[in-house]
Amino acid sequence: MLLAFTASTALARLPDPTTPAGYVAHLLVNEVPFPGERGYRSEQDTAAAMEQLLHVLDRRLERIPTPYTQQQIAATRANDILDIITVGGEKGQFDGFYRDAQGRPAMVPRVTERIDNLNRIASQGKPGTFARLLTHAGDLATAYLAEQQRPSDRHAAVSKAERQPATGGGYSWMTDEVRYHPGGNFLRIEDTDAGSLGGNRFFTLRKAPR
Amino acid sequence: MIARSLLLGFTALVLATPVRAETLGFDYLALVMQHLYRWHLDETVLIQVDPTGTLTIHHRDTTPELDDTDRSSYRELLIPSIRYRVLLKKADYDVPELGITITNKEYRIIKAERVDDWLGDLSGFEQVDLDAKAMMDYLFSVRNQRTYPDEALIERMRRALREHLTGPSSPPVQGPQTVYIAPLSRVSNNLWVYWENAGRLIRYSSDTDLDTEAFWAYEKLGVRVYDLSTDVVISFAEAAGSNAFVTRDWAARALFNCVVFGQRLIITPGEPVAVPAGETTP
Repeated sequence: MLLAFTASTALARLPDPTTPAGYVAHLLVNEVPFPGERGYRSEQDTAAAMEQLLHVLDRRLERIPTPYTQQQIAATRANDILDIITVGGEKGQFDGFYRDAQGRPAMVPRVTERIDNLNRIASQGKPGTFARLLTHAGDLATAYLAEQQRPSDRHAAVSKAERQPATGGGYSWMTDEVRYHPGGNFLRIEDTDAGSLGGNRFFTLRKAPR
Repeated sequence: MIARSLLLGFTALVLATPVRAETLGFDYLALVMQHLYRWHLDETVLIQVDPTGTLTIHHRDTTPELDDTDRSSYRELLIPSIRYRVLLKKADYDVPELGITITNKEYRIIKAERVDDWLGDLSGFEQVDLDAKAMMDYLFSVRNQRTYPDEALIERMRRALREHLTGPSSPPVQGPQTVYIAPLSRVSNNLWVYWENAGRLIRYSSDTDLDTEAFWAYEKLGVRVYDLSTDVVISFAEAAGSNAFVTRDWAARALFNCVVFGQRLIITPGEPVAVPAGETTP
């Protein structure tokens, strides 16, 4: 499948973005803060955020809880993770990730510019936090797509959120501010349940939809 | 620096136990309230404040687990009278890849949000009681106060904006471009710019202070652009789950701060342009 952009530089630590693993890894990196950026807390926090972002994608693809439908949660019917990511266009569910006019998965320039900058920083001096986080994103995406490997899920056991019974598992994320909320049957996972990671707030689902 | 008369007046606002010197001082809390007034509060919030009573600020350390060499600290402020929760960070860590240290001179606001679900037990918090009327009077008195970037920062902004205006993320431009830079907040590392020709709001942000060289190592990383013709909604519920949008309410505040209070610059992509006399405001 031809994708709508060229591969990153030789110093890149992410898989080729023209591959599904590379595309997923680029999304994981795009959504989290690196040292010096707004929202950065720690390497562990950013890495954890990447892992939970992957779980959201996976849950939207393969683990929709009864009685919900995939369409209700992911705004699409899909059996391909790239369709989960690109639904809704440039400003869809995952801002900046879309399919171009030829149907190829694409990213807006600000995404690739930032990742190129992160790669450049990661390549300066001894490998440090930047390199480890980029590698982590690549490893997560590669392991998931090649072998269906999922990291440990911090949100799997969430049984209550916003004082209501919840399905558990993360099904959405948004910027971690109270005014950002997907609404509907999504429930905000509390801080005590690791709901805030990497500057993102994760959301589970109401157990009984209204 | 807050005018001495205002500072003395503000000192009189404090009614109860003084804040410990190593935590938050009077000047600082005034700046936080001023920032909230400028960027967050609306009429429905201030109308709840009883001007005959006290405005209590609760605060505590909330420093999470950090990287081994990270010396940063975090604090949480709760302001029940206006139902606001403010998270603060005082960054202090090294970025070896860039050979820089990310630092803040004081705590910076990293999040401010109105909270309806309020904590019942505030026993772990320190408390500062302020005279509510005096605080309201103070906020009214400084409502038009503006702090502009100095010449060095303006020059850096010109270069950054010139590059951004002609970058791959921007629409094609021709001729001089008009931008408005919002006044600075001493407690925030967000810098807002309104690019009039393209109808775009641009936010520069970083963990490090705006007036440090380290900030400019991150200018490209910390840019967020909102196209006001396509990226504005009334409510995030209209585009559930998407982070691509900004509410009209928020866009209006940013525009007010940029256009009414801000500093207007003319930038010609591709060449430096001397700003005509009178274009910049001291």
